[in-house]
Amino acid sequence: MAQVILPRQGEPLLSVRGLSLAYENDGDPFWVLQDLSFNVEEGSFVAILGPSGCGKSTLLRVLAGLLPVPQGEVRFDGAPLREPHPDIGLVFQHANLLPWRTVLENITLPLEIRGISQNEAQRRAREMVALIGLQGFENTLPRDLSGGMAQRVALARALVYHPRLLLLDEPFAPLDALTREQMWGELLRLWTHTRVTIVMVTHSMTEALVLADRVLVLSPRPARLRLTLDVPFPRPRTEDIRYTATFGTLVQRIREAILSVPSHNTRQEKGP
Amino acid sequence: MVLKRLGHYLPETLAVLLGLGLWWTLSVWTDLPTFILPTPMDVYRKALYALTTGLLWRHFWATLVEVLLGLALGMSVALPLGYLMHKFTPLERILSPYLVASQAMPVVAIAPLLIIWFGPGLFSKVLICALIVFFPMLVNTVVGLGNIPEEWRDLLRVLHASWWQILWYLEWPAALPVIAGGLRIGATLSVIGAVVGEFVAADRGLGFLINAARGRYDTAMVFVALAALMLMALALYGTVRLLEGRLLAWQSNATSRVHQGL
Repeated sequence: MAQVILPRQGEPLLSVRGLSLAYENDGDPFWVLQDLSFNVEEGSFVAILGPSGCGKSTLLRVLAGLLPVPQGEVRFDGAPLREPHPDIGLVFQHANLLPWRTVLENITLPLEIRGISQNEAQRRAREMVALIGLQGFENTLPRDLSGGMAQRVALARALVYHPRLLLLDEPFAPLDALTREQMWGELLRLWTHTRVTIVMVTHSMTEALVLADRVLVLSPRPARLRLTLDVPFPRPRTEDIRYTATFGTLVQRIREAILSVPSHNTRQEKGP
Repeated sequence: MVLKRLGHYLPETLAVLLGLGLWWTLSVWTDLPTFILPTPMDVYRKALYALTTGLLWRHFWATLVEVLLGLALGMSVALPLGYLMHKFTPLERILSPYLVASQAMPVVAIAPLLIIWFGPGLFSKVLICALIVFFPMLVNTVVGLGNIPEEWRDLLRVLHASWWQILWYLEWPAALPVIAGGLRIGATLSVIGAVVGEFVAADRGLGFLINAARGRYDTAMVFVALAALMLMALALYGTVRLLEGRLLAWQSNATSRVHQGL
């Protein structure tokens, strides 16, 4: 922890080399992730796309340092990742707010844990509340928030301590379609504002293409990297890109990549 | 407002009046002597006497001190032990024979032993109360900690919380509703513990008052002491409920549970 490693010139913020993960199943290994390798450059927005239950949430838990790296290597900021890193934030699929804390108290939580003074924590949390447009809801309890509002608070909580890497675990999957699309705009705005590096797991091709610079397409379990796609749309993007021919071609390529070589245990697959 | 509230509690009020009426009828119309069944008026007069002389308050206070100290002692052992048992599952298995044995044995039966060992003073009563409070508090602590969603734990890990920060920011508030449930049971049980202890050997307390009054065939005083015990248990229960309402207002059903009354 004490050793300081300066990021070498040109080294990606996050690099994954030969990452594999298996669960023991009656003595037989049950592969979830197989030989994944990819880089995430500082400041970029990478979407990890895969069918439900392919192990992409497990991958994100590894990247968050919540699961040990069993095989292969995950490097963050030039050093192997072994435990949760203070510069990495995680937003869960369900907002995961602590129900006894108000909106403001949920956002100050990471700062309180870091021992930042109450006043400073409050000030920074209020800034975040303004940024996510929830002024007037500072003292609201999570049970009185809509799904979209709760997820915005979760984003604010993950961004308030200025992490360099933000991991998003299908954060908009539980939301209704309209709210989800609103949240895309919201997230892009926050991303532009903070210039944080984002790795987002999703099963929605549209979501991945609308938001990300690069899409990593995973196969059904065990998850292998099938396709790396650089998204050509310029920023700032508008909803209209979804109705272009390029968009349709990209969706087609992703679909083909996922379905191309059906793995032997595809049929037992049941999404959560 | 007052009338509306009365109307709200009409069934309860009627039930109490009916019970008092039955008691009065039984005691007046049968020829039972006062030392078997005193009339409500006898008891009322005795209560006035016990209150004005300060007798009732003295014994009430003695029992209350035992009850509260017992609660405090039982909790201060059960909470940390529950936490440790939650963290180190082997501990649960090591301790379980003792825990099961201590629960299989009625506290009433251990009370004489505790009084032999620790004398008839305050400490043995506190110990009896603590013993009786201990188990529900321990079980609720372990259950409350065990029910915390894994996602909340992940959140605190991602945020780099230390073990005491996890305890302070997550485990304590998250387990509090279940722990409060244990306290609610424990508070009423503690009153039972104190009375049991006072029955065995004591020179003060409501249990002692009942025993002494019984020896003098002063049944009206027994009734007064019983009523005082009941009030104490209700007051403790109500206090815990009130605390729950305050501390657990974030739970959507906590406030409504308070409104359900006793």
